[in-house]
Amino acid sequence: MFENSSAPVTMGKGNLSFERVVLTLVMLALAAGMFVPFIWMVLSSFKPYQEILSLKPTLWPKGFTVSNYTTLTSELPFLRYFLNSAGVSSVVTLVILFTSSLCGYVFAKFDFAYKEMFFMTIISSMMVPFAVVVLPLYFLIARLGMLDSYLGLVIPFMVNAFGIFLMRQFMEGVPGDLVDAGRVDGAGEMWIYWRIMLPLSLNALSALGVFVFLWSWNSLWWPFMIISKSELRTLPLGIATLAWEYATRVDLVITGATIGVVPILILFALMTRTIVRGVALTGMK
Amino acid sequence: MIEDSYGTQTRSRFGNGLLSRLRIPRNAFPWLVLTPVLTYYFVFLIYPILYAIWVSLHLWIIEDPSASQFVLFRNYRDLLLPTSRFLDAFRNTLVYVIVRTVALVPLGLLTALLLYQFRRTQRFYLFCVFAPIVCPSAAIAVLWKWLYHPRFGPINAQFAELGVPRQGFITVADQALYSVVAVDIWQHIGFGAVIFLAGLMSIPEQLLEAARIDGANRWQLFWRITLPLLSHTTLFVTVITLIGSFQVFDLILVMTSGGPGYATYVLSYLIYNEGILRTDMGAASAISLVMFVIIMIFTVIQFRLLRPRWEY
Repeated sequence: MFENSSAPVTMGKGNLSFERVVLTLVMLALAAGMFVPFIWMVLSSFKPYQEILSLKPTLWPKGFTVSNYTTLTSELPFLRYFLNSAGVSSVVTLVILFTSSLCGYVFAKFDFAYKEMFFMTIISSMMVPFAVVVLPLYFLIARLGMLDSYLGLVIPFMVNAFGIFLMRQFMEGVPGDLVDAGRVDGAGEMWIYWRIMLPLSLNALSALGVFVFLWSWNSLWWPFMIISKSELRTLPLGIATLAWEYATRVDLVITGATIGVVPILILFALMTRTIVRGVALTGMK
Repeated sequence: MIEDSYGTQTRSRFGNGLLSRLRIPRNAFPWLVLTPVLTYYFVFLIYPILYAIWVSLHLWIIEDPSASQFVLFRNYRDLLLPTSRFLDAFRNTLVYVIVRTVALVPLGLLTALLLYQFRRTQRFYLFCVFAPIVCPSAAIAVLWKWLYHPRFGPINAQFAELGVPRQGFITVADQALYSVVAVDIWQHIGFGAVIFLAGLMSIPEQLLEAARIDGANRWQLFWRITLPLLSHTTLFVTVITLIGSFQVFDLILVMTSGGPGYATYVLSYLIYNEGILRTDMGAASAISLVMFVIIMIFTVIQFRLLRPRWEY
């Protein structure tokens, strides 16, 4: 999508025109406006409390220290939060990739009664805002005894309507001959799914995977609803808790936010285009 | 091993692993997949919605639901009473949605036009512009809460240096909502930008070249060719942004918790507040269904626009 190289380098004539300089300056200013807050945050996490609170804020830490990190991790188990988030998001992503692709295969390559009706039923759930189901879901999870459990964080998010939509869309583009050839040769449906459909859908799977993982990693509302045990908090919930319980300890709060942001930014730097494509194509965030 | 008439070993071609031993009749396969999925859908989606509708028609008693009293539309009517915060939250949501959408669509387009001018360095700029989107809103909220700090925040320090009076931002009622929506806008500029960028890149260069040869200047090029060709994209971005704006929760929860006073109560926050903190499930459900209807209208529009155009 963004690899299109046929577009022009510049719209006008020269390469280093006055206009080019202005454009670059504007672009740099915008980029700075978007990114400087993060730099400021990371640098602040290495400043002692007094320096952050001084009325003349510094950008570069004068009294460089890592004590914010040691204090923070001794107050709240942030490593645990990080691992919780990683675990929950990975499981949710894998499960959704599996259910979406399996349903996508069924809707793309099979004919059966009421197919479109079932499909529409699933797809129409895309228009249900989370705010509508969040309270009933909370009571349902409570009745199932899954408050304060990893299972409760995962179980409402095992099937994703958009994922099914996307995978059907994509798998309809896989030549039916390949599937038929497999069937003629006596391959089972699961074999065809696993060995033919999945390998041919890697593009769609990676976009969907990126989107689901980020969405799950960043989500706050649901963990906030059902998690009250400290050791089960996810990273966003940990950061929010920090902001409430240690509101005056700005050094700790900033450090917590840094822990929440830096790993995901590193990941983003490594795979910028894949992630941008994943979020943009799925277009639902 | 079974040998067919040609002497080939049919089974072994697909291995003898689980995938091959799992022989599912072809006609049964869709049902085998869809039965659990649809059951799941019923339990975790349809049932909660029906439950919300049912509850919204009752004076719901959480401790003992069976004692709840059926009151038809009273919960909905009571939303309009002066004691209810619904109208405040509704107005705040409307302001939030309008400001966010009106700002994000043009900003996204402008950013895309800018990004489009860069080829080799585009990835770097894309990274900067998109970075806030991939970050958890909780962290973004915490970060800005501090940037906004009335006494010690860097923004006010800058203001002081420029001679601008210090501002309260999220701590004063008349600025709080706008301060939060500003953060939201800052965070999501990149989203519209990449969709517009994809749109821009799909415009055939010959088209622009032809117009240029015919003597069109930049301005005309943009208004007569680029923008009309992006009308579908614009509509799509607008509707997606609208729907997203209605659902704001994380930023409000962490930055202001609805305050100061009720200045930043939005519908989603009010649902949480009524349902969990005030345990008035009837009111909370009624609010959530009102919200549902509003969002549904926009989603139907979106579905009409969402003629699948996935590119890989």
